[in-house]
Amino acid sequence: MKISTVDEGQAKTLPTYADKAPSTRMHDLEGYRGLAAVGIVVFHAFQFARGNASSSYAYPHTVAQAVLRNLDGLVSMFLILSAYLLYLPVARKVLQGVQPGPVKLFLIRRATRILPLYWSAILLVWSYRNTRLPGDWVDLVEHLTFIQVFDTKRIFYTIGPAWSLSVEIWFYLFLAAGYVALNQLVGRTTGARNRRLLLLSAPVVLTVASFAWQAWALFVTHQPATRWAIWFNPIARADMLAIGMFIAVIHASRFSSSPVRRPLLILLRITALGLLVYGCAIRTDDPTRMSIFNLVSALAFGLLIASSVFDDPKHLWRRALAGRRLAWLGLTSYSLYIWHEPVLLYLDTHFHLNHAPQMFPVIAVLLVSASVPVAWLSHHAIEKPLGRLRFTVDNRGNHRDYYPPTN
Amino acid sequence: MVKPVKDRVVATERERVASTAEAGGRLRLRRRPVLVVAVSFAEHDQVITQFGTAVAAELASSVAAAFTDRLEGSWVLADDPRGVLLVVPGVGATTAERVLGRVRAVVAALHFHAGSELVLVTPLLGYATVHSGHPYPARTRALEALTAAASRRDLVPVGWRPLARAPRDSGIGAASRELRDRHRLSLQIGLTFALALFVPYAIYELAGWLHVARTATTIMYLVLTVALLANALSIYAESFAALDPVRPPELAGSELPSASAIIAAYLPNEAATILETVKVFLGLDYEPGLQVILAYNSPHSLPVEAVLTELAKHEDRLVLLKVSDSTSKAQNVNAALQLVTGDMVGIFDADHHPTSGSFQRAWHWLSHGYGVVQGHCVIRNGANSWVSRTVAVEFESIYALSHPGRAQLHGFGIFGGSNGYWRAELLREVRLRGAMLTEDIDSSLRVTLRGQRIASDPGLISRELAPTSLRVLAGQRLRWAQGWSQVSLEYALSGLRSPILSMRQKFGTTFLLCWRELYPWLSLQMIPLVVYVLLHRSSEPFNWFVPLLILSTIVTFAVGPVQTALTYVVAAPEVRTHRMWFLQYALVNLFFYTEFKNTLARVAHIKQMMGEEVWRVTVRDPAFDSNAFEELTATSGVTVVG
Repeated sequence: MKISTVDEGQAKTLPTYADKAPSTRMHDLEGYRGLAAVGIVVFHAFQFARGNASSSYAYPHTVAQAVLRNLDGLVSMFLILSAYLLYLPVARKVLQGVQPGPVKLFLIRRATRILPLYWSAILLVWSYRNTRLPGDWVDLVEHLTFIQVFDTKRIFYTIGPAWSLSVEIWFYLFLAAGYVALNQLVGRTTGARNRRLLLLSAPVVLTVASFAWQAWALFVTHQPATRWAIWFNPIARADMLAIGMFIAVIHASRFSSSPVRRPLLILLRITALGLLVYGCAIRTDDPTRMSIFNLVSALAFGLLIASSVFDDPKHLWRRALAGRRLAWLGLTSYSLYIWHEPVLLYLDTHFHLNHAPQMFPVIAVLLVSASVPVAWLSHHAIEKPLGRLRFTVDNRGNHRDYYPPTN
Repeated sequence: MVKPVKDRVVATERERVASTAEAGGRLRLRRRPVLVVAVSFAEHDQVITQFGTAVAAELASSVAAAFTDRLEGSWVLADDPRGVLLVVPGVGATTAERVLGRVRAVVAALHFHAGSELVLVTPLLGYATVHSGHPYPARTRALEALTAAASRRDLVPVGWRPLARAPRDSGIGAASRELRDRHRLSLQIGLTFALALFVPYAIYELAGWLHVARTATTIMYLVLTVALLANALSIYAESFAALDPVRPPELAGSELPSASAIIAAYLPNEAATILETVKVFLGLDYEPGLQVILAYNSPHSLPVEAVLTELAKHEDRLVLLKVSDSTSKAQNVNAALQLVTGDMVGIFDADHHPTSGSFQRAWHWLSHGYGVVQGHCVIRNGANSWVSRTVAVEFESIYALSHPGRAQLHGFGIFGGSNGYWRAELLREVRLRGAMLTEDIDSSLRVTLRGQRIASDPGLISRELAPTSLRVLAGQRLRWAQGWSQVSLEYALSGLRSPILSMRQKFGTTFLLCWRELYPWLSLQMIPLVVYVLLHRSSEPFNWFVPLLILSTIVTFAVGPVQTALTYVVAAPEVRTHRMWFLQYALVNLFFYTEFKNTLARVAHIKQMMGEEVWRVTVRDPAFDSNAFEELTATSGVTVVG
């Protein structure tokens, strides 16, 4: 006798969509996520250890300061990775002439991945900080609905780094619209070239919109750098997402599955390093330079990611990033990212941390040591259990049949 | 069937004692505790049938010789084909358990050869202790205890305990006793509320008198908040874990073996439906062969027995076993084990209708190293009353959500008493203990403590009947609650000390056996605390609208509705069809059912403390659920060790 599994049962009833795409989970990308999360934790420790906005950072006029001060650019790594991983299966299917799949399924999967931890953290931190009702309820509503990125005053309230989650959510909505459009258009588009153009239209739209927005802010309305809602909103950051999507289309379009030749990969990495050095060198608080830094660092991280996904998984670069510790950090990176700032502020409130620049190493070690266990707990107590909600739907986004017939 | 050794052994023993001056002298001279153990064998009848009485006598002599060699200081008073009487001086009631363990080990280690065939036997032990220094009274009692042990067939040593004296039947005392008995449950419910509400309040008042009330209430508030949240989070965790249940291995590890189904029945209650149940089992398609054993007890003959006998004449697979001295499901199951021919045994109550392919599916688990797999019991009479509707959804919550979720979290599952499939040799070793009110939970813990695995498979469906009235449901749940308390007392410490259990499993046993018992008392503690704070508030008004307080309250109170919603997601299709049942359950659960069960759990503690272990049969709605099993288990004349 053979017991049919749920997947088999579902596969039998899913003729419309292509078979499950080959696994796109690449462990070295988890390594990138882990490094990016730790980098951002360290950046916030560095930012914290300067007392106030007018004080100087630690290690003035040194390379260390140039690097540490620009670690916030690593946020673009998250956005690029997210866009790449979400668009790659779409690109693969569309290039095969197959519909990307039900938008409902896409939205459910993204919602079960992001929302449980995000809402839990926002509710808990807001409730902790607001000791009497009604508190700053506007802040709560904005954060729960992901519109804090449009409010310069409250964008960094409750959980500051949560702004990038808001950007992600808006990107998901954009991509959901893309699903609808592609489901309609893929059948009518013939030829690989046309399908590739169809796929490229989405990142091109994002790129154009982002550049236009930034150009308007810089050269037409001369927005100051402190108008956070101008610089941190989803349109301003759409170019980063577009980079990830471009990589996905290139990856899916490659005729050969063999790795790219090593000299080219090395060139990509050297170029990425050069771009990062350049970005760090030119960045100031001036909005134009900041925008250039954002673009340049995003390009650099895009090149790094491309150099990984086009490389042989057995090569040292990918193996090093796919190591157990980095992969583990990557797995808990979302929790680490969302909790480290509340942890820092909690420690500051209750233990009166010293903000002096020379205390940065202590603060950094303390913050990483305190945040990583919190992230581990959060991953296992919130992210993982609530993430199981994704199993309640089948491959069409309908209610999963928990009792498939046995043969 | 095992029969008592009483008569013949006693006769032999008398002769021996009379002729053994040395032994008699020792017995008369020494005034210290004496343990007398009556030993028989579970396989006694098979040995007699297969090899004859002479070999059985030889076996008993070998056991007696082994005792003499290996149990220093003890001597054998008698041995005959039915067993051995052993005396161990210097052992009282408190140390008897250790000696009994050694006695069992000696018998288990015995490799007796009947001709060329190796015979391994399982000991049945009855014992008694006396402090007079003379074994005669203890001998008789040990034999009585052995009779009880043989009747239970669960391999647990049975110690003799005097019967409680019957109360006098006259006077004011009798009237008062009658009144108390009639209102016992109400009094016990009142007592639990007094203990749970008024005692803590009195303590706060005392703290106020000592000027430490603010500290005491603050600490208590924090402790309670954390406790209630922890409980809620644990339920969330197990519920979400169940959304992706572990499925049986796709391929069986070996070919399907022969299988046996044991249907345990108290026939007077099952007469209306047992024939249908038996036919469902006989209709199951299981190619290697399914033996169906109906192991039942009945105080009198019933017409349905004749019908069943007629059916058995035409159907070789059906075995009827009337267990005449049985008073429990455990005894019926244990008795049936002697007739089991399958390598896999499914245990069912008499109202169960397993779905086609169940035994095959169960083997996918068992052939991959699991000792037991518990299936999903789906209620088939949910439409009968609001109680059965509630139970229908509750069972989905238990078998489709909690059990599979908890099995993932704790690393072990629970055998629920019915629709459970065992490896036959494991069931023979573990058996079901009739003295435990929840023999299923007891056996689950013993299986887990042996390092064996129990799986929980929601896809392994059997349909059964639910109680249709609240009174019957209360009786059933009270028994379950007290059974859990018994098991907690028995295994909470051994679970923690176990060298076999992993840390995760130890957490699981602690949660199930300690936290689960404590929670019904904790759940009410916010009431006396809040009442005290309100009655003694200072001039500053109490601020109820602290967001963190509101958030923790929402998280705590939402656990029931969320659990119901997730139950709806994973429920069996036939129950899931009734969406309104889930809505009704969510409301009933929130405002009544949870506290109803918590109250029963607290009452169970009171009953356990008061030594109430005798349960009456509570007949269910005769229109449908005539399957209430005899819930009369523990008899007051014996106590169980081990």
